[in-house]
Amino acid sequence: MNRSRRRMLQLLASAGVATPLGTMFGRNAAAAPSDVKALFVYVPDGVIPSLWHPTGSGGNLVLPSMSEPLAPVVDDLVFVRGLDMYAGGATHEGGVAKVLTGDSDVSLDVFLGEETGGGLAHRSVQLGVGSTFQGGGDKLISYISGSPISPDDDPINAFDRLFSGLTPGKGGGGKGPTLEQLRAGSVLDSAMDDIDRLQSVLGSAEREKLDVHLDALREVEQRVTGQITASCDKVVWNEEGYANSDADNYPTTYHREDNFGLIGKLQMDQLTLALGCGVTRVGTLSWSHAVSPTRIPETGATRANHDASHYGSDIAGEIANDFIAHRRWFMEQFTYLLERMRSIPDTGGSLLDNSIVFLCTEINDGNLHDHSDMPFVLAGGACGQLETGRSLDYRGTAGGENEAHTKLLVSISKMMGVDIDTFGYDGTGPGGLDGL
Amino acid sequence: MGLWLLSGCYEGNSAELEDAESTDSSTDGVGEEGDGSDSDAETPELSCEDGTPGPRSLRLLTRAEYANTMADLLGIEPPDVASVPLEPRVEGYDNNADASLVTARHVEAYMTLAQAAATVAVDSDAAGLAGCMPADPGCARSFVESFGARALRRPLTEDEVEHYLAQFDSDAADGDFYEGMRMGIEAMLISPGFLYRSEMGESVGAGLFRLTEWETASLLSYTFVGSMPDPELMAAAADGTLSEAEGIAEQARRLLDSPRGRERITMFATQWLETTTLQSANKDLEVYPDFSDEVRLAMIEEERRFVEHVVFDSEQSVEELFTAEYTFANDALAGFYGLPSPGSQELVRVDFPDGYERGGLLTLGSFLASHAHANETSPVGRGVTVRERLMCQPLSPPPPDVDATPPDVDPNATTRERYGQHSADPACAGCHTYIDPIGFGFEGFDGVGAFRTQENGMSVDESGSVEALIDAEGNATSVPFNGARELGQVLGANGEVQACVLEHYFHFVSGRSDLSEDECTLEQLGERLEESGGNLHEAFIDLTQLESFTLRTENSK
Repeated sequence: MNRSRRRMLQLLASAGVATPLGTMFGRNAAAAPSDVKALFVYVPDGVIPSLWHPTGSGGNLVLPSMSEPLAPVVDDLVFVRGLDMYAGGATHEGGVAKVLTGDSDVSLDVFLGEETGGGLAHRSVQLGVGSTFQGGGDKLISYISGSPISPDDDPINAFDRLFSGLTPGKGGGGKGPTLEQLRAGSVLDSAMDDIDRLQSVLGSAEREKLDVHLDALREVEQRVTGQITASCDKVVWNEEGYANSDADNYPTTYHREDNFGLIGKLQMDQLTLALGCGVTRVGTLSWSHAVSPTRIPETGATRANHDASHYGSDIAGEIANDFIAHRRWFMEQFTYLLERMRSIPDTGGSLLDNSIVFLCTEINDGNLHDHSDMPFVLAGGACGQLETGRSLDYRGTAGGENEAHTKLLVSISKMMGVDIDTFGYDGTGPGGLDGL
Repeated sequence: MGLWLLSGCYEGNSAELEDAESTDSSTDGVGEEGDGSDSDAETPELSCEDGTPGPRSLRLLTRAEYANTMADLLGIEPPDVASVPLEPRVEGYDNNADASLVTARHVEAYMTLAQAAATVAVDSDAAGLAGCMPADPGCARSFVESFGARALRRPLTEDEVEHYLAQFDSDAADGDFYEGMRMGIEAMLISPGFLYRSEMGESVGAGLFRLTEWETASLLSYTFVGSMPDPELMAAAADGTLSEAEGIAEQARRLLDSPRGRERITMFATQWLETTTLQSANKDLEVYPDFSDEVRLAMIEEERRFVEHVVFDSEQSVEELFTAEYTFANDALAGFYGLPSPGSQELVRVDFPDGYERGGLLTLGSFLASHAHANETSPVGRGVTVRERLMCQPLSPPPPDVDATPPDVDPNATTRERYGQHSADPACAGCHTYIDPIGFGFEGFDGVGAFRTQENGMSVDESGSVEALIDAEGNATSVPFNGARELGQVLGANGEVQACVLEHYFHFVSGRSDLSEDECTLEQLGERLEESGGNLHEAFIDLTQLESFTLRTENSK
């Protein structure tokens, strides 16, 4: 992690030098790379490759059964294949640890959040749908300082964090701090002083851990003391009336299998709201977790996703059918997500036009656990930087080998206006993907 | 020994124990800056018998530890900690010191919980909590000093007292004493001194740091009961008792034997055996119609009762853990196991009849069902679990270029036959020789832990072998067995397997996944265990008796 750069951003932010949120909106000019939002969407356990990759070319992509539900948004997509995830560990656990990190100690979502989110309420937002249920604690995709970040699976808790204090009448707005803000500021100041005092005693020992902690305190302080003056004034969310029930002890309400779809919708809805009104520029949505024990009732499948992903050699068999049904369901949700982003106006277009969305998973073939020829998809216009409705194939393009997926991570970063040459593994050289 | 080291299947250190080098305690002295080093302290001369000091660290409380601590500190019900992010799980344990970091979401959750808890505590008994009347001179100070010493688990420095007193004078408190008190509590509850267990120690030279008595008290308390030190332990820290090994042992024993201490051991066992997710593990009820919720919950309770009984109420030995000819069951579980009904809704001890197929922890329903798929057994999963969790021989994952396709489901073959084909492939057999013959030995138990003699109309073959089992002379041996019960007898009698329990316990106690520098500690624990005839209960206390228990080195991370 580039700590000095992160600190610099914080200093700029607290001095009011970073782009104030307000100026990002209501601008008439076309959006620039510095306005691009990034959304990372993770779906577990790979695909059946022969039923995933489209055939045909630009404007005329033919989608096989697993990707077929993406048809309504196919013109907003770039299918990317031929990328390998090199280095790092193998199978599911190795895959989640590197898909967004490239085998470095920070994931791209967290990195971009640190780089771009200094003046925003949240640098990056990690939400999940059952992502920490049933053994997810060692299979997560977002990392800070080499440690996994656990996504928030509770939509109500997440909504409070993202939008309270930003909605009209609840702070912000220049009337001086509320008593609640004064109190929060006072105890947060105290905790920051405590860390300073501890660091002066400990010197370099445990510095990284305490630096991460201090950053977290600063971020929360900005938010709860009203330094962030963003206003999301059209927050319509949870018209379904979802509520957590105290009666659901285990699993919790949001981890109940029969709520999986609804929780997914609520999380997608609030992520798009948060990106749309500038609460953050970087979001991550984790559907379940690797080796997914989730069975989605709406699919009619009898097997959980991971059990179904081991479909054997028969791609027309009963087990494969369950896997296909799950993947199709996830793609229906992804289509909903993109359509929703398209419905939200943003500078010079829609939120989708001004975003880069990365749909990823941690292995290629669910039955093989391999990290080659990964089934990735990009979506959104990235403020005119990404030409969509295409399918790209990078097999054999790195001196006969498959290209490294980290080049795709570099490309995403560049589209966000964060100019880097490498991100993690750089065994096939620096730079982003050619021809993207 | 060379056999499996050459095979390239193993990672980690345990197989290389005998190559252990003595502790390298020399450092260049970097990091002693401003650490309050105590120049009077004697620099210890360490030998391998003292164990290896681990790195200095600040250990974030797990969610369970946090909830217990809040409850004990404030006299409230343990708060619901679902809003605190899930701990990263490393090597199966939820308390990894390096991996547990505080993010913004943690801070927000801690703040919300602190505010709620402080409000409840102040509203219910403000005067009692303060210990004095607001009008009394020095009341705020005496509150900060006394409450702070409990919240931070050590006396406060004068700087810190002044620091927390400032909350009473803050704009937000607006002159209201109890509001100031509430904010003082909140400030302490989100301070690093509360949220982390400090194992930083004070410099004693030679790159070594000695835990303070207060840190030792916390180490003992969180190790054995998972919460803050109680008054007796704090008193032992204050009067110097904890600077002596005997004093530490006395407190360790008291805590270990307390009701919470018993519960803590069962929690360790659940993480060690990787049975933590059984409560919600997917099982295909079309394949396993008898696996009712009642049976599932009874299995979870069975494991706890069984482990607790062995460690505290019986012979306390590892061997008994692996071979006991009894378990704890209620009517539902006994029915599932085919045992005579004990006539009880509650779990009670049930002794196995002669010739019964179960015995010891390998045949606990929780272990068998946790290490299996939703609709079939998992010979590979079970074999790997035995290797890694019970034999302490961590395996490398399959290399990326290997075709790891599991065999297709086949109604005309047994699971063993299907997987047998895959391990006949020389490319796989190199590693699976160490995995599958163990896993196949479990085939007498289906994916939910029920005994079976038939699969798909064919007889189940539950013969197996343990390859590379290290015998007392340090030789790798191949030991055949028939069925999981016999496997338990083979493993339970083996010194390496016995010591492995302590290696896992040490992961749990130290909050560290990498024990490659800890050969001396592990060797010592193994030797002491052997001397006590494999007594686990005493071994847990012995761990606190190593000189290294209260020593730390500079953290290189």
